[in-house]
Amino acid sequence: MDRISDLPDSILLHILSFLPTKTAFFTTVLSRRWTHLCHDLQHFDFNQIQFHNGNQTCSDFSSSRKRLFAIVNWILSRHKAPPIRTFRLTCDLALFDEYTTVEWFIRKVLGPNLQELNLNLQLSIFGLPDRKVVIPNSVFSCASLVTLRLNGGNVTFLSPSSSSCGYRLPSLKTLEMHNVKASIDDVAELLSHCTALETLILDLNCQVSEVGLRIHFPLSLKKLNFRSDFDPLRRIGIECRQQFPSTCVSNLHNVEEAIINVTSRGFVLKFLVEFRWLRSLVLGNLVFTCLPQAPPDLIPELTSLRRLELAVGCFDTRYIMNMLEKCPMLKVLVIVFITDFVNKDPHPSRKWELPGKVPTCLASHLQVITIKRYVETRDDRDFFAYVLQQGLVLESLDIQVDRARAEGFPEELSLLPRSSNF
Amino acid sequence: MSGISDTERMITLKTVEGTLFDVKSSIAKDIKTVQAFIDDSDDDVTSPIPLPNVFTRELSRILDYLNNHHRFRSDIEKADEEMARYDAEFAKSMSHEELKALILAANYLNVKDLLEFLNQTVADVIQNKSVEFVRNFFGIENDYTPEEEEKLRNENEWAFNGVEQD
Repeated sequence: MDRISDLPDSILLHILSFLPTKTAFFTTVLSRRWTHLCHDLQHFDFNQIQFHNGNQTCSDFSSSRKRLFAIVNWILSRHKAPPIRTFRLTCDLALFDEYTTVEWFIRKVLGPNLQELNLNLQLSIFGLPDRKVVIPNSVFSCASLVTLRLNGGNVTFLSPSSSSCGYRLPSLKTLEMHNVKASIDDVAELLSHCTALETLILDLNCQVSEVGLRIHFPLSLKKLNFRSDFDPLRRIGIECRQQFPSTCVSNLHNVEEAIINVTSRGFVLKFLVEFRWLRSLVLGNLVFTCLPQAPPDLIPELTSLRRLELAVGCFDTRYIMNMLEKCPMLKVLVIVFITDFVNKDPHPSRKWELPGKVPTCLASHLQVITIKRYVETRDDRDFFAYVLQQGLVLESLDIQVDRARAEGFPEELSLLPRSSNF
Repeated sequence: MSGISDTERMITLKTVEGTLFDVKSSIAKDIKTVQAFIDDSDDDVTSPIPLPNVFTRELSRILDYLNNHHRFRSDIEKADEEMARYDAEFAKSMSHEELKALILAANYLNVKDLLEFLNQTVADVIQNKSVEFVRNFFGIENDYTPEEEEKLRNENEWAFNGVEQD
């Protein structure tokens, strides 16, 4: 029985939508039916890498870009119906015209049915550092848009406050911005127009703010991944601390999963205080440079947190124990060693201190401890001995060693007394 | 694991072969065709819901997938890895014919997440494969003459770069 020929066009088109446009177009020779299907594509995904000739030379980059642009141009120009729903483009830019062409592509695919716009535009080594691709204002009032991803240091958009047309993104569920050239204020302003946003990934590098740091996140937000090396105190200078307008982040009550990676301790704490129903939290490598020094009573209790992942440069047991103390319901603890971190212990003389009282989660909830890229440092063994003894419901302690120098370690660990029976 | 589910309402589904499956109403919610049937009937659904286009093999696979995904979702701390492992096994456990049959069933029952996953699986299978492989996979009869096909290949030469040769 030839069952597959029963698959309706809608399913075949759906399958094609998962393929890069280049691969999808190759099905045009399969049969007449498939040639027609290729004319009905609504999802386009172009990546310069597929247009390489194989050798990664500079001239190949330039010629692959030329081929890519010619094909995108050809497909978009002859595309009639049905309306485009997805447009993804990954390439680098060098020539003046190419910036203009990308802006033309965006205008061409923009319409009342566009659901995903995904631009990954890296600056070529021969690129024009001052030239930017300006995202047209109409993108930010595209009511059908569900996913918007902008990646690359040569993408910018006009300040929402200066634009006369109303910014409005009522359907937007996912917004992702990496290194987009815009001030934090403009990004914050943009966020206020994303009323249905559920996932936000912001990677804001070297950005300044004129009015301090005020971000009112959409109340609908469920997942947040926030990275920024913006530090108001460092920029202003420590003596101006009082004058600097207060940092303010708000509306994070509904966030369930968060990844926070910022360099300013005050900033991290603002986030932690705002989370109410957080179930999963990752504190990144930048946080390790500021949070471990914070007095424990400044760190709020995270009452619903189930999974905590900490990036560490060294096995700072005080930091880890302080965090455990604040997470009474924690089930999973993951500790990841930062690989490119200079393994310098800030407090080499500090010794393992037996906590005054056992963190609640150890006695009742903590089931899994995973340590990734483990590098042995100071008082780890005391820590392991402690959690094995106090972890009444512990199911696994998984230590993944990075370097081949931990011989004998597992045996030694297995000799430590434990309270749970895993 | 249980507890809340003990009192949950059960719905009975009946396949082409007449096999009966009891399904929790929370799972049935993900099967849009079944949910629409329930919504349309005023009384409580007590008699089995007939599924005239769905075979036992496919329905039991679909329910297995939904049950497992429900379990993963209730435990987000460990969900991602386990779900990825389960999905990979699930995709691997099927022949191409079984995969296609399951797509038709998931399409008829309107199980969105599963359909998404299965179609993505097919896309992964045919990615960068030769024209003959893809024709075989879909059971396509080539209705182009060799000359026509050659002409199309030339027109779309850019799309053939890097594709496995026949």
